[in-house]
Amino acid sequence: MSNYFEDLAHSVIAGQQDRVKQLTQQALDAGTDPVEIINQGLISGMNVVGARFKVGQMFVPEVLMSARAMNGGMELVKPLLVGQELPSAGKVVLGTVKGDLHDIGKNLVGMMLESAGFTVVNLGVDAGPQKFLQAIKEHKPGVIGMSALLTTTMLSMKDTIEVLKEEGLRNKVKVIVGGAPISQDFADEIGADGFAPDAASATDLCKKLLA
Amino acid sequence: MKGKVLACQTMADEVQKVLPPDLDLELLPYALHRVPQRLQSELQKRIDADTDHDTLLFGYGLCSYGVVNLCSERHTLVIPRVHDCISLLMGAREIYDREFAKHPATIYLSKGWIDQGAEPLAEFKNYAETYGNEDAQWMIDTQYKHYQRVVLIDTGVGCREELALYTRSVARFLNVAYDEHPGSVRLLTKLFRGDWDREFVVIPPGRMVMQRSFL
Repeated sequence: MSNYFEDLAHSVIAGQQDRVKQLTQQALDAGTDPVEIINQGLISGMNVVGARFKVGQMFVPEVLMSARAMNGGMELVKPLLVGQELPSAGKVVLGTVKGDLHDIGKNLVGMMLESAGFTVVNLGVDAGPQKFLQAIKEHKPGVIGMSALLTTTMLSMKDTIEVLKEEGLRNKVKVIVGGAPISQDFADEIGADGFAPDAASATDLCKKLLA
Repeated sequence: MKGKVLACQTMADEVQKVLPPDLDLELLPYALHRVPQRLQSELQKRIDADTDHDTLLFGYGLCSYGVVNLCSERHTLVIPRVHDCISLLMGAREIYDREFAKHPATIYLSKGWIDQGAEPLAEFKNYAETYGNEDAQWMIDTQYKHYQRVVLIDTGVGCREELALYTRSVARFLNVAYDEHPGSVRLLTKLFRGDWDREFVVIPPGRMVMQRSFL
């Protein structure tokens, strides 16, 4: 079976949606545990994609192909998970910050979190402090994740954290940040709980913060 | 001052237009900023390799994470206090900040950006060679769906009519509005002249460039 998972992971990395669907269906037909298919095949492939994207070994078009391929597999697996009534790993509110419209990386994080069993509320792009605040009140997430690609917008993360403090909500939710110009130093400076350099790390970080 | 300019290829024409004869110039490849840590390490390598100058002038802004933590034991580093080349091409940080506040959903092009193929139409052609038209279109849609305008910054280099015509075709391809914005080499001129006021981050030897100086 390990070869099979390797094959599936490689097909995700190569962005071959048809192949991913075919392998996923084969595994399901053979009675493989859907959670195993996700964790050992689909996610493990996407983990590689996220890391390679971060260091410039893979680029936007390839990442999009991989994400689509993984989605193809997830769509086959998901209906089978519903019946199992797995407990959610936790709830995460995600958004690209105010003024910023870049969402490829953030959506990748969302997809990875969902695959790892988190419930994700995606606020989309251009999400200012008020939007995060409202979402926290409405959804009561364990974590909020803010993303920025532009340095013109990254300080909006700090604004959101300040608003949470003013509203007395800061200690009710963990705050994580990410995006090309973001670093651990910046996360520390603005008082975030964590920084994730890529999508796989974001999942690990959420697991750690909610443990 | 024995100075050298390190600049991004994207601004080659603007830099060369106002570069005084006593300054040396090294152009770095376009698009290093897409992997910000790589831009940073490429710049640090150039700094470390240079033994002929005492001052290095940057044809860069913060450029994501590109100039963060740069340092030198022997050079003074001078960097325009701007987010990126859009401010440099417009001539001042305030102009870009104002435009950004009004129209965040804007793709800016200039001669350099067009020459480097760093725009959606060239990317589409590029993607289509590998993935075919349908997937290439989907990639472009995914990447640029939130943008509402394409704006040409006219810095007075190249043939204005041709650049405007091409930029219009990019806007038409994305099905968004086209506009033009006057450019200026004012900041570059100040940088090269040594007129380093608050519009510049000046780092003496032994000190390190901090991201917060630009935010």
